[in-house]
Amino acid sequence: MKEYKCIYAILDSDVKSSDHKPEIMGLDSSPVYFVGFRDISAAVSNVNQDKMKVSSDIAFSYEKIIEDLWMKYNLLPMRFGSVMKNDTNVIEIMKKNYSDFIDNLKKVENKSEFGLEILCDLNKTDFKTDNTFNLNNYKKLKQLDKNSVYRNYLIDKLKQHKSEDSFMKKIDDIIEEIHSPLKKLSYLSNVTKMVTTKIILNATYLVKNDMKDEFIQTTQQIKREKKDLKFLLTGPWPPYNFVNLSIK
Amino acid sequence: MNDDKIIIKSESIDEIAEELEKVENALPNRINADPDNVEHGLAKLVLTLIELIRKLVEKQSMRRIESDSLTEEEIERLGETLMKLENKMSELKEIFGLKDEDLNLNLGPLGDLM
Repeated sequence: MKEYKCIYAILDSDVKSSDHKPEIMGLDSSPVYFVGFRDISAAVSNVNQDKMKVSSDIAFSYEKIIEDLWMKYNLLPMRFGSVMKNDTNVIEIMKKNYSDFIDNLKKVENKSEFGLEILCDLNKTDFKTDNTFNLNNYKKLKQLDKNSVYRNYLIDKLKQHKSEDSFMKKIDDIIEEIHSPLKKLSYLSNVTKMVTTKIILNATYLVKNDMKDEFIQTTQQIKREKKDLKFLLTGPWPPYNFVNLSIK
Repeated sequence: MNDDKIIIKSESIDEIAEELEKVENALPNRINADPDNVEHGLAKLVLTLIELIRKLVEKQSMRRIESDSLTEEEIERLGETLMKLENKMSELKEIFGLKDEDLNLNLGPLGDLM
């Protein structure tokens, strides 16, 4: 079976010397070791090709390895399945992307990622949307023949459209009330609205380590105020969602 | 996810897990190319895309009516077109044995297509 180098993370410390051994086992029970280039290093281990098959167990193991490394070093997590033929190829990657790696490492230094999901059960929530529809606001439509099926069809569609717009406005207001105070406490944030019809907010926050407690307390306070919503705050995570680079 | 990573949670997170699974399954990973039902699989994919475009056209049409930028004739023609489009979609869904939920797509900020 052919062996590859699995890359878990890029580290900003020069840890290639034998004094630094992570003492962490990789995916294939091979020890993780460092390959260095200038003042950065890659955490790698030998793996057989079949150990990189996608499964939730392997993905969790991969995440755990990154997590263990993150406890000791500032790092950029690599995407699951990042493999190279040999150490020389790993060094080549670091050489080609050195400045991007450095920029991203500086950005995430001394920071942690938090994930926030907000779920709103619209059937149970008292959600007062504006369902008033006044045909007088649409004079040209009103002037069409009252017996026209097309006129009545459009009126129904407009009512539906107005109701949906009103609903989205309410959702935007709720999201703003949650996101705004958390954004102030974070260094960077990513927000996705209405991931599904129930998950109204899926956000990730990059928070300075000395702000973590305040961030968690503020989220707890918001949860207490928003009794109709369900909260899931997870973390601290390595900065999975705040690394912006395209590997050359 | 390890429980020690959960800092704050409402009583049950099962609902959130179920919802996140919906996102993962928003689009089929592949078209079922089994010779016996390739037509059905392809029809489902094509009709989903047509329905997405139809919904977008409908939304844009409502905005045009709201902005008062259409004449009475244009509004009436628009109503006729949108109604016929919707009826035609219903016919096609029936022909291929598809229900509304079969043509669902998660559209992020727009919510589900259906």
